[in-house]
Amino acid sequence: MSIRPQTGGEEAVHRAVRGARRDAARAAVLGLAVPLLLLSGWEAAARTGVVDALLFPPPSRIAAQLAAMTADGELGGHLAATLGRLLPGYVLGALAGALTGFAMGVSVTLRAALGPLFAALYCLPKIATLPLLLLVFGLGETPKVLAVAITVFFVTQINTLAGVRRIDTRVLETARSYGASGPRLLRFVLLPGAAPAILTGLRTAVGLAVVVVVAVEFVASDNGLGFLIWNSWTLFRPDRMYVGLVTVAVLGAVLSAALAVAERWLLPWQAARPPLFAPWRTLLRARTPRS
Amino acid sequence: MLAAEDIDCYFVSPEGEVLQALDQVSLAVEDGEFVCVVGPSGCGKSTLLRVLGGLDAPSGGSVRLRPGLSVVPPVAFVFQDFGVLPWLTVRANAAFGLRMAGVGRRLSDRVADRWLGRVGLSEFADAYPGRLSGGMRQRLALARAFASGSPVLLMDEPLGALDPQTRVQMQEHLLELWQQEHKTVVMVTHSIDEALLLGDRVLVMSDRPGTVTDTITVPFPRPRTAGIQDTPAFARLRVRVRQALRGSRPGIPAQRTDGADARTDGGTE
Repeated sequence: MSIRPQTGGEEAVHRAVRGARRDAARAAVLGLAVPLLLLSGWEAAARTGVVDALLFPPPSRIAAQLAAMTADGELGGHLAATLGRLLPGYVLGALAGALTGFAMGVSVTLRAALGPLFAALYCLPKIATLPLLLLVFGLGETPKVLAVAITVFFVTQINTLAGVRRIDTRVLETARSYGASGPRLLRFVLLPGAAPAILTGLRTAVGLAVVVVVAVEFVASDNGLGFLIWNSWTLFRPDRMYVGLVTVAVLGAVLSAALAVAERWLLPWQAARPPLFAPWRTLLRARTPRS
Repeated sequence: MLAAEDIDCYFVSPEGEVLQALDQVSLAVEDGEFVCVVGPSGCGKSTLLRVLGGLDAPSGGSVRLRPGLSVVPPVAFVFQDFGVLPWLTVRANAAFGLRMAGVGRRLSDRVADRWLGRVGLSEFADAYPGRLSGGMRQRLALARAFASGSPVLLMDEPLGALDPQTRVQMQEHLLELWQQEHKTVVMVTHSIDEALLLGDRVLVMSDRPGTVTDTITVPFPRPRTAGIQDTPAFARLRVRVRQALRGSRPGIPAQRTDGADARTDGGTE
């Protein structure tokens, strides 16, 4: 029943550990090397005039611009303005979406009442509601936060609903046979059962929320990263525009990574499963032990 | 004691068709008795078990079950597909029945650990079930049922999803556990050998609508070992059950005895 090999065990274990480290190291090197290669290609092309340095300033110039804008606090101001819309909108939309999705998941009545409506609204590009929000709430921060919240709400709601509905009926049956109900059913069965889908929804929503907040700032704001990008275009300052683009990209990556960490922490049982397309060494190692 | 009287059970299929799963089924199970139920696929064996355990309400008839103590569920189920919760650790899975009955975490975990030891899963207590093999998951499901403290265990083909070799091991394991604990057990199985090895009585059910057509008392003394399967008396009894099964379903040959044809009972679908 032991999962350790019986003979020559030490050596085999060391080999397996070395293999896993090699796989991880190779992934890290590849992940860094490819972007670096692309950047140096760009730098060379811009400096030699292969591409128009006016439209595609070399990365070194963008980096210098980024350093300058960071130093004088301009970039920090735009970032703070964007985060001030993104985070409240995201939290609001995520909470409302998860609660609504959950309620619809457990209530047949709510599902019947709201399902078709939400299905129709889901396909509406949420950014298209911005003019309406501006009309209702004026030019303040509220419509911008709400535009983000609406986007996040629908993605989270639909994923949460699917997550609750897709909980294995055999697991539900078992829980019922042991008399699980009320708060205990929620804590031990429904919440953990739906959690993977909820987190998938939250991860998708992060990307969309960044898209929407930038789009909102394009048209209805005089600060924020979206404004920085749009304004740099009208002033023909591509170097500033790239600073905005890079910052938005990094922001999205950081938020996604934070959610990925949260996911690993919240769903420890998922780590037990081997990844779908693992290198063959990993697959061999991850085989379940036989009793 | 667990008793059912004149149980009728009807279902409406998704197509709107009315199906009768059980027809006037009566049975009485003594305290500490091990009763096995065999019958053709889809004869309502699983439905009977679910009605006995209160998961489904019968359309007619009544079930009598001695109420459990305050913190102990009156019955514990063991399903063919284990019903292991993937997001709970092995220990938390074993403690699940007690937790759902309102027992505190520390006491539940202590009882769970004791049962994990008895089924040989102690070293996996903190792991998630994703790492367990089929046989280990089944042992976990058994540990959970025993740990719940419930005096009545209802098992729906608990070994049906296991490979033949693991199944034989688990039969012996179950036999041993039951002989030490003397729970009241009703077990649905497709395997005649399993029924005769484990059961005090074997109920034979007919094709849908399910009725109990025959009751066979298994005379082998306790404690039993798997060795009794090689005796002539066992072989004679096996023939007797097979004939009873054949009689319950005219024109169709009886099922094989090795459980290779085990599949989910359609009666609950």
